[in-house]
Amino acid sequence: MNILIPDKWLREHLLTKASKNDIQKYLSLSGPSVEHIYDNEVYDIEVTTNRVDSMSIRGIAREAATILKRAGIETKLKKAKFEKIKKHPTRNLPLPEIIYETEAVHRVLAVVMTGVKHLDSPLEMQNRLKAIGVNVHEALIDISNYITHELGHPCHVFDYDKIMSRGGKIIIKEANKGKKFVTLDEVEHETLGGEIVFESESGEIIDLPAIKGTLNTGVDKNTKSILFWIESLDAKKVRQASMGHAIRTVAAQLNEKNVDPNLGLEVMEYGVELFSKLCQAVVVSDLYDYFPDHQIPKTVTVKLKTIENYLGIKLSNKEIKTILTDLDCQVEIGQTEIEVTPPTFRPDIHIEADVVEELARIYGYHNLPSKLMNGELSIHKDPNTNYQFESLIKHFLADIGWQEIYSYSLVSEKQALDTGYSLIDHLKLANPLKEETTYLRRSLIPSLIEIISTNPTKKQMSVFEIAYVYNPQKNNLPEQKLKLTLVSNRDYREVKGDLLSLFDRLYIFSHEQELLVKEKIDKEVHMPIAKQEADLIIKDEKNKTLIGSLIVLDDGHIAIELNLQELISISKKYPQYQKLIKTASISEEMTFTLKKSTAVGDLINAFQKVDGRVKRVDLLDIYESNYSFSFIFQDDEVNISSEEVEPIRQKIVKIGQDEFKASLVGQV
Amino acid sequence: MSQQDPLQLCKDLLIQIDQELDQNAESLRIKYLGKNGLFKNVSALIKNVPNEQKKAFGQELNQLKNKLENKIADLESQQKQTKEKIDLTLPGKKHQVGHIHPISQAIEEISQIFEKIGFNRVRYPEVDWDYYVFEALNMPKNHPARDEWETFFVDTQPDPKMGKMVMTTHTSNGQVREMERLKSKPPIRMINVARTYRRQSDATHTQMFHQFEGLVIDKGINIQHLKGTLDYFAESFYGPGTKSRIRPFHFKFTEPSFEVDFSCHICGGTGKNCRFCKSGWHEVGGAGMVHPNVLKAGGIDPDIYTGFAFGWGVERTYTLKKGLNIDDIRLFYSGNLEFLEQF
Repeated sequence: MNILIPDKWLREHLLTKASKNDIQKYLSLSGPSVEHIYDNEVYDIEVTTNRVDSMSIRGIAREAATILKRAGIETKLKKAKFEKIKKHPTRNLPLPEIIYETEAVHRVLAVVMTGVKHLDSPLEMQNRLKAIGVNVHEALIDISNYITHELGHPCHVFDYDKIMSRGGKIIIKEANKGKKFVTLDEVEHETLGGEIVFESESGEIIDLPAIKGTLNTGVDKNTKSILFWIESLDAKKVRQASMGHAIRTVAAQLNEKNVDPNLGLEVMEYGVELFSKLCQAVVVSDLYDYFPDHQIPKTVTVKLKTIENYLGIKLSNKEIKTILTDLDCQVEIGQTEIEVTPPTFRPDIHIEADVVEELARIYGYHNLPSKLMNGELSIHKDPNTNYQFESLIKHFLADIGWQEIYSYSLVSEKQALDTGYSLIDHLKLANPLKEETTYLRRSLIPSLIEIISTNPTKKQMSVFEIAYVYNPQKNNLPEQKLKLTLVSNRDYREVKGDLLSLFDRLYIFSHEQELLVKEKIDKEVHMPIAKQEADLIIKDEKNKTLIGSLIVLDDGHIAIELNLQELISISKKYPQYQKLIKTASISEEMTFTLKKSTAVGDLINAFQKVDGRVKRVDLLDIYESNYSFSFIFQDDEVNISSEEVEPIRQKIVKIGQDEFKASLVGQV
Repeated sequence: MSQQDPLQLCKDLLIQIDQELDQNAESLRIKYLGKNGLFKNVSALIKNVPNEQKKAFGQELNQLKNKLENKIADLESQQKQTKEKIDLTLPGKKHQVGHIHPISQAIEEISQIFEKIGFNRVRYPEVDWDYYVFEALNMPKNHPARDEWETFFVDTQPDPKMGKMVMTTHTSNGQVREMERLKSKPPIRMINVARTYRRQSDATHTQMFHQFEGLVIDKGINIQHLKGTLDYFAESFYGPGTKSRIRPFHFKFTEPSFEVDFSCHICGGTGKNCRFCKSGWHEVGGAGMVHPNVLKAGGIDPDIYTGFAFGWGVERTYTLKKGLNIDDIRLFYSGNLEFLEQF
C-alpha cells in the first residue's frame, strides 16, 4: 500500500537535519521504500502489508527517527501530546446504549459533542488533504480523514441525533444475509451474512463499521451534535466484509491489517481537540472506552546464535540492544539468548526471524558483506526434461529458418474449439481479464496460426514454440505436457524436410529408428480446421513411440505438434558410427510416370527393399506426373559393376510397374 | 644434346621465347620454368661447360631466366586485366535464418549463470494448487498479503486439501515442490524458470510473463550468501560495475525479505520524468531468507537448516540490459516478426 507524506507535515513529528533526499535514500534502504518525491514536497512511500503501524505520518516519522539516527544524521521523534478529554461542566447528553452481540470487537471509544458549526477547514489542512489526494469538504468531515492520515487509526463521525431518533441503541452483531443498506456515497448494498454491522433497535443497519458509514446516520449540513467514534474489530472480519462488498476504503485497508487498538485514545483526544477548535463543538458526555481485550505483545526469545547464523557476522550485545530499543522494543540480554518484547503496534514481530530482520535492516543490509556459498551441491536433476536438448532443438530450428514464438497459454473460445476438443474438455479461467484469453490451451497450433495471419507481409513464414498444454484430469491438476509445435505456410516437402533434418541432428535415424507417418482416415481427423492428419511414430526394433502429429490445415499450412518428452527420449547426443565403405558406388537416375494416387514414400521404400545393394533412393524432381529418382548402388565388399546393377535395375522397374503402376520413362 | 653447345642452346632458347605463339602465362611457366621445363634442361648442362666458359654461360642463363620471368609476368598482368571482374558492391545474399525468442535467450543466459554456481534448473506446474502457490508459503487463506498477487483462478472444483486451482502467480510454488522432490534432504540449489500469470496488462505488465526462482537450502546459509549470489548475477548478466541495492520488504514466505533493485538505464538512474522506474531504480523482484514455516512445509527442520530464495521476472530483468531499449513488454507476446527478427 502506498501512502503520501508531505515533508512539512512529517517534520511536525520529526526533528531532523536530514534533507529530503537523505530521507528518501535511508528510508528506502532500511525501511519503507520512498518511490517518488512529488513537487519536491510529497513523499510517495510504499508500506508493506505487515507494517500498518507505518501507514501514517506519525508511523513514518517513528521509522525515520530510528533509521536516520543510525545513518549518522541527528534526528529525534517529537513527543505527541494531546489534551485529556474534558466534559463540559454543565451540559450533558447521554451516550447511546452499545450492545455487543459478537466477540469480534477489540475496542470501542466514543464521545458526544454538540454545538457543531459548519465551517471550512483551515487552508493548510485543506492543502495537505489535497496533497494526499483526499477531497476537501467541511471541517466536520475533513477532520476524521486528517487524523486518520496523521495517526493511522480510522475513526468515524455519526450524526448523534440520527442515532438517538432511532432508539439510541447501537447493536454490534454479525449480519444476517440479504439486508439492504445505503452507504454514505448513496450506493445500495445488501448484507452478505457474517460481516459485522451496527443495527438500531428496529434492526435497521446504521453502519458498516471499520469500512464505511451509512447514509442514515452520517453527518450532513444540518448536523448539530455528533457521536465521535472509534472501533477496533477483528481484522479478518473486516477484510472479509470489505472484499465481499468490494468497498476498499482507506479505513478498510487499515482496519483489515490489525491497527493497534492502543492507538485509539490518542486519536480520540486529537479528534476532540480539532472538533472543538475547528467546529466549535463541546464535549457533552463522558468518554466511553470499551477495551475488553488488551492484547499484550508476546515476548520473543532469540538465540544469539540465530542472529549470527542469519547475518553471517556477530553483532555486539550493545548494538543489538540499541537497535531494538530504538524500535521501542524491551530487551533483556542473556548469556545465549535475548528476550524481546515488541511494542503493541508491532504485532508483526513474533518469531526469531522477525527480530533478525529488524536487526539486519537497521544495521543495514548494505553494510553486510557479500559472498558466494560453498558446500555440497545438489546432483538430482529435473527428471522431466533435458534442457540441453531443448536448447539444441531451438537453436537448430532457428538456424534453419524457423522463428521461435512465445504466445499466451490462454486462448479464445474459437481457438479452443479449433483444437477439436469441446469447451468442456478445456479448463477455463473463473476470472479472465479478456475474452480472448479465457481457456487453457490444449494445442499450440491455433496460437501459431494466428501469429502467421497477423504477419501478412511475410510470404514464407515458419514459426515454432515450446510450451505446456493443459489437459484436464478428473479431481486433479491438468496434465501439463510440453509440446514442440511447428506451423508453416511453406510447402509440405520443405517442412517435412526440416523435421527430418532436425531428427538427423538429434541422431534419431542413426540409431536404427525410423519415422512412420501414419495418416488417419477422414473420420478420425480431430481438428475442425484440418484437411489431413497423421500420427508421427518412431519405430525401432522393439517399440513404436507416438511422438506427435502432423496436420495439413484447410488453408494448406502445415502444422507439426510433437510431445517434447517423447522426442527427447528417442534423441541421442551422438551418432551410432557406421563403418566407412571403401568400395565404389554407381549412381543413376530414373524417371517414372506415376498415377495420382501413388504414395511416393511407399514407392521409395519398395525400391529400397529390392536389394541390399540399393544404398539410397532420393526423389530428385517432380514434373507433372513424372517423378525422377536418384539411386545409389553399392556393395560393401567389392566394387559394384554395371553388369551387377543391371538385374537390380530390372527389379526396380518391375516392382514399380507391378505394385505401383509406375511406368519408366525411357529405357533401362 | 650432349653434342650441342650449351651456350648456343641458351641463345636459341632466347629466340624461341620471342617467337612463342602460346600466350598463356601458366602454360609457358610450365613449359619453360617447370620441373622438367626447357630452362631447367639447359641450365643442367652447366656441368658440361668447360670451367673458363662457365662464367659466360652463367650470365647467359641469368639473362634467359630474367627474360622468361618478365615475359610471363607481363602476360599474367595482361590476362588479369582482360578477366571478367566481380562487382564487389553487389549486395550479399543472406541465408534465411530464424531467431531464438528474446525470452528464450534471456532464460538460457540466466540458467547458465546459475548453473555455473551449482544450481539445478527445474520446471514445475504452471497450473497449481493454492497450497503450493500460497498456503505452503505461509500465506493463509484470505490473508491481505495475497492481494499483491492478482490471481487468476481456474473454474473448477477446489481440492479438499489443496484448495483452489490457480494459474501460478509466481515461480515460488516450486519451493515446497522442490523440497518434496528431494525428499526434504538439503543441499538444495534450484533455479525454477516458468510461465507465471497475473490479472494485469499495461506497458510493464502482461497477463502472462516469466519468472525465475532461486532456492538455496543448506546448513549455514545466511544473508551474505544471498547478497553474494545477487551480486554475482548482476555482474554476470549486466556486466561489471552494475549498480544494485537491497531494501527491506515483506513477503510472507521469507523473513527477512528484500526487494532487489538495479539502476534504471532509461533515465540513467536519475529518476527524472521517467515513467519506467521509481526514482532511478527498477524493482527487479523479491528475495529473502526462507521463512521457517516454509521449510517446515517442505519437511525441513528450520533449527538445522537455513536458506534463501529469490524470484524475479525474466522480462523485467532482461529489459534492463543496457541499450536494449524495449519500453513495452507486451511486444514479447505480440508475435510481431518485425520485432522478433531483431533478436
